Amino acid sequence: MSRKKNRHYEDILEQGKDLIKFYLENPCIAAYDLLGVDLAPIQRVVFEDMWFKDYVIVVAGRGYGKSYLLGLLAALSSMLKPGYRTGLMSPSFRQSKMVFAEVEKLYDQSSIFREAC
Amino acid sequence: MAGRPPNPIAPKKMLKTALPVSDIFREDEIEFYNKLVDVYLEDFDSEDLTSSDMDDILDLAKNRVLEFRLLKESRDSSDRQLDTAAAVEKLAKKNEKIKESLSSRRKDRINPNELKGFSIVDLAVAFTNDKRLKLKEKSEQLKAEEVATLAARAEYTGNKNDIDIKEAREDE
Repeated sequence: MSRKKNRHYEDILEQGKDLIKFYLENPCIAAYDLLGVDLAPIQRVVFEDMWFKDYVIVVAGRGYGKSYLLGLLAALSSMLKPGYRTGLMSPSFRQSKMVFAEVEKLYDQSSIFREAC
Repeated sequence: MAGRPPNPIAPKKMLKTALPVSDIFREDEIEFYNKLVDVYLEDFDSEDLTSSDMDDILDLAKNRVLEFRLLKESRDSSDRQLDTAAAVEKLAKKNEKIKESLSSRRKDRINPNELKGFSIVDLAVAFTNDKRLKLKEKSEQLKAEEVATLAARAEYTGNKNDIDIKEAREDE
């Protein structure tokens, strides 16, 4: 019985590993599944660049969702990358707070995010 | 005899009928006030509504009505608009503060243990071969959408051909 149970856990662990790998390769699907975020196609293009590249400069107009994407990136990276440390840095405290407010909104709306904290 | 009455009045009724809004507002304003109260109350479960929330909703709706009254009265005169600008701004600032306190109290009520149980482990359990194929299909579909979006924007030139940009370059 216990061997059966162990096998079950091993299967889940294996599936979990695959799932995280899939999410790391497909951050937009991860955002949808884990945080309930449905991004617009053009936002997905930018978000994937933010996810896969080390240094990114986003030049976009007002209301595009730059702060939102940053908050999403911070939350998702912290959830999926073990040992990942996230800093929200801005020229002013107010701007950092704005990005953090986006993270808080994600926290409020996602039970998986709340569970992970 | 102290304490709450045995049958306290419902918040909606309290905000709409028990308060003497008809002494403060005109007919059209009362209608506007009632609609605002309805909209604000939709964000709350009646059981969750505290006395502080009710006060805030009352103030918020009242301020909004007063704000619109000021804007309406000063509509046709720029002098009046200047006179009322400070008052309107004051009301807007007050409303911001009220909204902040309403939202922070609502946040305090969110129970982090609620909905506990559904976690990433459940997603991992459900991540079978079928699910994997479905997600892969979804991923390909999203990629195709992204490519189509970028292709649709291929001929966007931005503002580099605007007249003022050319003038600015010539000045340089």
